[in-house]
Amino acid sequence: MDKKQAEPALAIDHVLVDIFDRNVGNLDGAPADYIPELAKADLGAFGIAVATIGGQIHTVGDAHVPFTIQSTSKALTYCMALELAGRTEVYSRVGVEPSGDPFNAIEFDPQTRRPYNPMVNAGAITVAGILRDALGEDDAFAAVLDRFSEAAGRQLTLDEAVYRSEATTGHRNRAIGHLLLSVDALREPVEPALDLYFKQCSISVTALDLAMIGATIANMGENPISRRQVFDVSAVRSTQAVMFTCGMYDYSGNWAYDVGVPAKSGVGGGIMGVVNRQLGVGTYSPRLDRKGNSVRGVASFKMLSDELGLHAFDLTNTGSAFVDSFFNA
Amino acid sequence: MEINETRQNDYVVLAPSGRLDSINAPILDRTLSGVIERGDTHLVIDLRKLDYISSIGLSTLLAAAKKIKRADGRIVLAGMNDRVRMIMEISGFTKIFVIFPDVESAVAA
Repeated sequence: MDKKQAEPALAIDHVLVDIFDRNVGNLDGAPADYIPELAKADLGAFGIAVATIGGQIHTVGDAHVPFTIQSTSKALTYCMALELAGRTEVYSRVGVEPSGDPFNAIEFDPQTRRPYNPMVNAGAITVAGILRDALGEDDAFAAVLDRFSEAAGRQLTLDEAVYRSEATTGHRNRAIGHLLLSVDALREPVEPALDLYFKQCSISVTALDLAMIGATIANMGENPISRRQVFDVSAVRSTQAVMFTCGMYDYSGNWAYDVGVPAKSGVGGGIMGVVNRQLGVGTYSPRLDRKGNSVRGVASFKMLSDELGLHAFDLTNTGSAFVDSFFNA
Repeated sequence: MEINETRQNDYVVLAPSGRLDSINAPILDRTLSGVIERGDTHLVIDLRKLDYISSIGLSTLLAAAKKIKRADGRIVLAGMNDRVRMIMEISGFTKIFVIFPDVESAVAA
């Protein structure tokens, strides 16, 4: 694999090349195969991208190789739903508690009868229903694709083959959709909400796109290069909170323990991380662990967190000067 | 990573070279732990030949400092390049460690 990286110019370039070299030989894991098209991924592909809120971009490896966004889309549609339908309406239909269950679990919170959170399939399908209600059946996907594209800073496209594969084989998600109807989380008709969900998961992105989208979230919802306001600033805070507690499926607790940044993975092999007010990070490698997270992606994020001190509770995090101001005369 | 060990006055001087990153931090950690466990609790860490230090490298130095403090010893830093000094300053480590310009002034203090 060509690392496609010139002689490291800055410390970050050296760190990225080093992390790439340490992980490229890791061949653990396997691609998702329950969506037949995903099993066709190039298993050797591996890329890392970092984008700052100042517009700097640093990449190593296959950071420009396309793959489908899959569950990483859930964070972005949740952010849109908070803005379009309001926090109260969204919260009445989807919770914010980590479930500890796998992404495709058919489990609802027994107290509230809502999906536990928007990062599991049941919650994300509910969010798709909210967007369908707010935007209209005919316009919802175009609005989602436009918003994702603005965050990435380029026009994204739908991977038709993956979409057809998901729509044809998504029996479990259809079952979840009908259960959501029975608890009033989803409104009739079910199929357009499911179709929006299948399409949002089938948007083609790269590791660099994920880094740019992450940087847009980190930058209070404004794309660092185009300077366009893509996401509502208060929705961005809520989205990062849910990513932090629920973004890595039933590995979220370990992720908070080891990496300590808001993130969202997808079974396409991508992971998007956000370092608030500083960075977006995207990784791509299609071999997944048993929890559905990219093996080399998780390992790379751990190393990047150790090197750059990204963890929320890292000892290099000297705290907020804003908080200090309340204690100074 | 090479870690040169010498003894000057009452101090053990450890001089790591190269990059103190997530690959090399465990090497320095083992060396520091070994020195402290054998009873040498007055240390100078000579950083003249250190090119780069990451968050986990800082963590290794801090963990050693906490062990030394419990043992009523002393650990100081000496000599560092501009980048390492900048990292020390922005992470607040210049308030945690006493830093000397060179080993000679550190062992004389």
